[in-house]
Amino acid sequence: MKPARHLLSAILLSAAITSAPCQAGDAIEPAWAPTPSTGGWYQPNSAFGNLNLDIADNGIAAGTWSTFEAGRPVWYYFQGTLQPASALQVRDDGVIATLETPLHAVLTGGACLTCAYLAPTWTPHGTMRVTFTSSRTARFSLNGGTPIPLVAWLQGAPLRAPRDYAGDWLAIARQDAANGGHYETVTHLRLDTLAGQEAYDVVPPAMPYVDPPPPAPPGGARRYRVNCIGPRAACLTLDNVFLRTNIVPAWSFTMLWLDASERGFTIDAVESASGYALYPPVGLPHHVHAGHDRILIRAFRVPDEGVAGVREIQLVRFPAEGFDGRAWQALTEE
Amino acid sequence: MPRTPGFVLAIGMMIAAVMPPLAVRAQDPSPIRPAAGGWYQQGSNFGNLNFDIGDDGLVAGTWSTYREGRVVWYYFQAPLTPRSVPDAEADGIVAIVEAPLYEATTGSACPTCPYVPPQWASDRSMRLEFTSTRVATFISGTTRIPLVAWMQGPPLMPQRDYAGDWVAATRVTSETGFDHQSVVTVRLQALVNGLGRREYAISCVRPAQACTQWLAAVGDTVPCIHFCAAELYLWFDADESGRMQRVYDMGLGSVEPYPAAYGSQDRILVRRTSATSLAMSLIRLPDGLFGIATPEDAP
Repeated sequence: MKPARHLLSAILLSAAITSAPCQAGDAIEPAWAPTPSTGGWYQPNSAFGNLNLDIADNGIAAGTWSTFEAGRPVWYYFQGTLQPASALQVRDDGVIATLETPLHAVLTGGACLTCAYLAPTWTPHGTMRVTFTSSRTARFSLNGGTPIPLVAWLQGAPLRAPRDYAGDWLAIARQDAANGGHYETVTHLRLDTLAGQEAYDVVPPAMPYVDPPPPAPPGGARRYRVNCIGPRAACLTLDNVFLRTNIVPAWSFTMLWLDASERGFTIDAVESASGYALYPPVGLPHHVHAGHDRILIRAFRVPDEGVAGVREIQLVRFPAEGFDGRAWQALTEE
Repeated sequence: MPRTPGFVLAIGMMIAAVMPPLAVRAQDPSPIRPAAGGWYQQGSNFGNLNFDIGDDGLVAGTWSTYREGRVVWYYFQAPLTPRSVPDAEADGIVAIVEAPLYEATTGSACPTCPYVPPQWASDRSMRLEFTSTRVATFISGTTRIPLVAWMQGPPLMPQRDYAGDWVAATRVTSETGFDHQSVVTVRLQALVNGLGRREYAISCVRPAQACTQWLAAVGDTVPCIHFCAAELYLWFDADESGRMQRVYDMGLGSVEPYPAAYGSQDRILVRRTSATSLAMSLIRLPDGLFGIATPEDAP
């Protein structure tokens, strides 16, 4: 080991500050991005211990890794810049962000909590790379070694019950294309749990179809029907431009499904006695990335795939005292 | 130091063993959620307290610190107890966590070695009293240490700027049966002041008619003593808590409290309980997202 050196976390942090890439405002770049959960990450029934992650507004990520070495408790400090993946990487590779940073093994510190401050001593302990594949799944690699799969431990299985996204959401939607097309709307959505059988009849497209259709939900996926509550004009925009809702009578509805990693798709569906018939929606498939109180629905097209553009709907959980829908009747809509 | 006998439990087993089953708790209408992640005290021996919060309010994490100069780390878990709006107004504490601390004493030989469940010892507990999304007091025995969420602002990070466009989901209710519910877009514009705190004028952007109703309803929840204008503003202290007041209020105070504001990364919660109650959630809109066209102009 190299000689121990004294460093304050503040000094470490100030050395690494850079701005995270800002995509907002670009007409064909997504404004929102799926992000890793802050807090604890671990691997069930392994010797990994706990990786604790925090992320600042500017993308600086820092935390501690509490684990064991030769059977003794140790903890490491790290800090770096979270590198968000491009929209294309998110869509095609499944990676949403990467954090690569040196680890600093903490060796000694103050004698007690209230004793005179004694700056901790640290020593370099290699480099870690964490590749986040969803808000709650990641791969951890130490010094380029074998990847260790991690999960954000309080955000779902195996420690916690799978998150239920049923309920009321505020939907902020926009669509921008390189040819100048722009739509935007803010609506009140409700996700209703679908309890029908997990049997799917995937109907092939009637015409040649350039975009890959979204897959059927895997076993155990959480499935919801997307309903628009109001205002009516905003719901009509959502229905016409973004995805089907119940605002006008239709033969199908939008199913939103999520797998165990909190990723999924939306797909047009019709319920039957034996399950659901699934129809590929017109246009690009809508990818879904969910977290604690957010759901991001996004379709993205690069120039090579036709008219470049992005369609995204950010759902934010309504407060507990949320609306009962009367607001939309009371308000005079513009 | 007195110690209880070591015991062996995997982290997952601890959660199952120590925590009651997922309890269904009555939800506070507008709970203040502390920032998940790291908390510390600058220039102290405290080390780093890191926690995560489950959807049901379960808090769990580790505290990496020192004892007699050597590194130690503790595991903890307990439910987050939100305080009611009147209680929070009375003493400033918005949420509490009380948990035993389990010191990790031994474990596997390395992260990729065969799994050996860690052994733990418990001889102390802690209490966290949160007074905002990023300020808390750590209490263990007679020790009280002020903490901040270290990535959420000074001294390590720049102060958060709330200027910009936000979607405001608002509900105002009164004992007389008045019930206003609306979703509007508002703009926070930074004001210059000499008080060292961040202040923002709030203007409602659209839809116009909903904005008129929103301003009237929200305005009714903001006390005014002298010479107040209709315009509202929000201010925040360093701990990301603050108030909503009226522009030009002479600041002489009020019998009734001004609505309390709690900021976080991309959300601001403004609330007040009284004869007329307010619950307003502001959700950050990315810069430049809207404004190219008017809403609802789709075919």
